[in-house]
Amino acid sequence: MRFSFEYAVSHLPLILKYAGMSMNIAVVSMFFTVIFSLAITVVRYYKVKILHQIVNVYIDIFRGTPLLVQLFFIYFGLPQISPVFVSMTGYQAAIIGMTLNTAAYMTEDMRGALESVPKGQIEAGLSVGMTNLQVMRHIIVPQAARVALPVMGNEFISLVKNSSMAFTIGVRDIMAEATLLGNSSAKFFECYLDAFIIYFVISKLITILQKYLEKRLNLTGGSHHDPR
Amino acid sequence: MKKLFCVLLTGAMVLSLAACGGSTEDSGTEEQKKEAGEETALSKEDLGTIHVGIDGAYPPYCFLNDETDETDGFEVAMMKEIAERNGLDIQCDVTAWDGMFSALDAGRIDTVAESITITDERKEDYIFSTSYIEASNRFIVREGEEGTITSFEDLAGKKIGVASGQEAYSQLEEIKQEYKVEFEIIPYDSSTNAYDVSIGRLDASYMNPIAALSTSDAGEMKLAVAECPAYVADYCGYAFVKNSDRAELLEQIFSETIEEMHQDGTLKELCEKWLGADVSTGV
Repeated sequence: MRFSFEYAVSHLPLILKYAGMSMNIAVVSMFFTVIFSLAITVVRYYKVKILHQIVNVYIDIFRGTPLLVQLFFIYFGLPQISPVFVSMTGYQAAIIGMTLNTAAYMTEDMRGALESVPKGQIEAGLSVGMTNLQVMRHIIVPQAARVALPVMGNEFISLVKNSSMAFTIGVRDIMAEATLLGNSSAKFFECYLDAFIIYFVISKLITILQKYLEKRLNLTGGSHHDPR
Repeated sequence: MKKLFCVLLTGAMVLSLAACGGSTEDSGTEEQKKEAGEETALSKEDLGTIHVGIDGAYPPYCFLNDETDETDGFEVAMMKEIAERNGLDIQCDVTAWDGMFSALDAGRIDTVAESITITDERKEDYIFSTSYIEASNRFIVREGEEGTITSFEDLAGKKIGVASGQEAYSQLEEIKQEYKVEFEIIPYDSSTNAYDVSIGRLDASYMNPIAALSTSDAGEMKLAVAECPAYVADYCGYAFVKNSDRAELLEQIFSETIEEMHQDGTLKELCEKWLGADVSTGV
């Protein structure tokens, strides 16, 4: 095998430089995903008229098509409908595409989490004179968050990995740099190995952080409900 | 309380929509500026930054220079020369080959610097500059197997790799029809299929021999050009969209500069420097 260990090591920093762009896409998308998911989850939980149906169609579409097709549609398709979209950069298209895609899944996680709180608790809350908002804030959300957080962590890891598709719409990220270097030097194995390592280390770090957060949340959540 | 929720929710939706829409807002003004500029005759000074799509993965035509972390190669040298001679601001944007023509159609790039073959089919959608190089496709095989493909009939039953979306793909289909031979065409999203010839996944790759041999040298793949002659002579030009004053002006500038470079020998020099052979056309 003509594997060059030296090449892989010396080019790791070059590819690593673009981890910033990958993480940027993942973090910004995650931010918008959480906000957008919360909004549509509330629409679905309270079955808000009209909006509720629109949201369901959106979820159907974005869960039923591949992310790559969605990115191509947003970046290359929309400019043919309206020239307004021509100046949308690949980065912006990636954020919009990943947000819409991930939110379609995350809203399901959030709905599951909300529904995991027994109806009896809500009724109990209302019967002691709490308002709907108070029930949501003091009874549902604290318990639902504990259920939702691990799944949301997984969605974030997916976002980091999915960000590798942004290269197809012209964003220079980890995958882009690895592909370019690989093609330019014909050292594919070395370059993709570097990308492999970088993605893995990032995912691992997020998992560790997630575990730590879960532990903390469980502790505080647990003590909160402990009978005194 | 339900009403309060509705209000909160619409607020959140509007906010998130505004966040998404933010990217497109400033574009509107830019578009208006562009349109306003097009009413009067365009001149070189109005062109602003010219975006040229380049995939950076096609050595020696264009590749990533790992020392500067920027695109380099014959096509980049061409762009620098054209920019310099006309006082233009030409920027090479790294664009994946998959989306190259979509990016051109969408107006994200003005042209493609990627040795694009001029074909009648493409001429229906684009206008082309004067041809600057010849880049005919050949069959690339493992060293020592040059004699396995000496004619198109020899392709029978073989597995041939080709970059999809390239002219090479259509040519393979035509060869199938014209010579009535059956072989398997394996489409790839770029020119990486040369590598698959070297490890034995493919019998041959149908591609530009200069690019293939350069990749082969860099990766110690031991590839060679099969004896079978070129199916057609391919001439490359820069493609521009139709029905655009900006594109027409650019086409004119590019064509004139190519002819100039042909006459003063710069084109030949660049070919020999980067491609190792004089494949310049320029007429």
